[in-house]
Amino acid sequence: MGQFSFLVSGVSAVSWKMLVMWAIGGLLIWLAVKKDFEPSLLLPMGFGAILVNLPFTGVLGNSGIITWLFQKGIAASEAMPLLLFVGIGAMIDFGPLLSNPRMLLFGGAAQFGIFFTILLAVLLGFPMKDAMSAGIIGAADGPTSILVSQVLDSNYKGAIAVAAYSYMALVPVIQPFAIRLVTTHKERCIRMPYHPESVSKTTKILFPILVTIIAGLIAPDSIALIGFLMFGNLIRESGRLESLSQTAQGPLANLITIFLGITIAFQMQAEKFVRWDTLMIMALGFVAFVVDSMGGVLFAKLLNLFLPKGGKINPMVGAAGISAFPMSARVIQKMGLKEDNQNHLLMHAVGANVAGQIGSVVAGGIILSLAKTILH
Amino acid sequence: MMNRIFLTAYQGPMGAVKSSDIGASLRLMGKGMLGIFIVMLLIFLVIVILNKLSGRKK
Repeated sequence: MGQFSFLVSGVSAVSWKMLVMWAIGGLLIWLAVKKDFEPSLLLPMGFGAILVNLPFTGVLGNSGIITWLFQKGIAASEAMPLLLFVGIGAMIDFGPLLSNPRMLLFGGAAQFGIFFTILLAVLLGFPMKDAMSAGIIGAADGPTSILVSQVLDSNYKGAIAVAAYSYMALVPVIQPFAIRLVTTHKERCIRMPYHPESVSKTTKILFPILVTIIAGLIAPDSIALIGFLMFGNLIRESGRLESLSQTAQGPLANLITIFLGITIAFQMQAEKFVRWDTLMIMALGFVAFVVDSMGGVLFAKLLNLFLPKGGKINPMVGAAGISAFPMSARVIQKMGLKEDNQNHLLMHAVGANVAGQIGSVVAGGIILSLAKTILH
Repeated sequence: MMNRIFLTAYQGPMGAVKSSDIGASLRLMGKGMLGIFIVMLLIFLVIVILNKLSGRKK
């Protein structure tokens, strides 16, 4: 019988923490398949959580494929999240923002949750680098969250990635809750007529170049993120690289997404993940999302104090200033129609939402810049 | 009371809270939001100028 003990050595090595991780993996896969919550990321992450939490798993260790993917694709140079940004940049049409640039302000205001959460995490006793990493969940931007937590070498990289993508998927649940807390029915019914103005091709081409230069000069640590995002957008808007644009939006983004999810699972090993403080990080991420949404709404309400009666902003549009694109814009459109079936806010919300893409990346860069002085 | 909170470190649920970290996170909030708004305002100006120079139409 002793000769066959190798057959049961794996079974006997299963710990309760591994079982918890299998359950979490199963939950992520269920959310992806049954609820359609960010399936392209939650499904690979869920499967990866099971894969790395099998006893004596061959995907970890010095020669394990997940270890290799993590070390080369994320730890060495953040290649995966950055390459994904090229694809995201190629997907984004900045037209609604270029047509109505005041929406940029909401892309700034809706980052407030990041900094509020950093303060909250510090008050709870988290070390500064972990507090900063927890706050960046509020960027509502998976690649930025991964990059910042990696660069700051947070102890909660796995939890932060899971929280960032899970809450992005839960935007249709979280945002209506947060918006209703700080708005009245009357405010939610404010109509905003949409008068699109044509944007020249020159503007669309110069925009990514100039934004890269501005962000690079003011927040140099954001340059990798914003530079790759804008590079993807320049490919799209150049009008000469349609094939490359389609490749960046499709095959490149898909390939990276497949492996990014399963690579992040490297950080979801039971011993590091099943801890009380992981739950705290997840809770802080939720707070960051809620306060971000409220920050955008309250800023819109502040602007309304100074705007003429006919030109008021529906405060819900401010909440679209987070980076979760296009989910947040869709949520605002749905909420607007629910309050008043003739109130179409989609294009305004899309403008704020793409501004949020820029704002979240800039916020990540600024945190990395300031971390150099704060952490040393 | 407020002064005591900021001067005295205490034991939070996740570890010791340093008053210097509280100050640092407040400064981070101020500088961070200011930095984001400066970048956004500059981008706003760039868009306005680009739109003016390229003579967009309604």
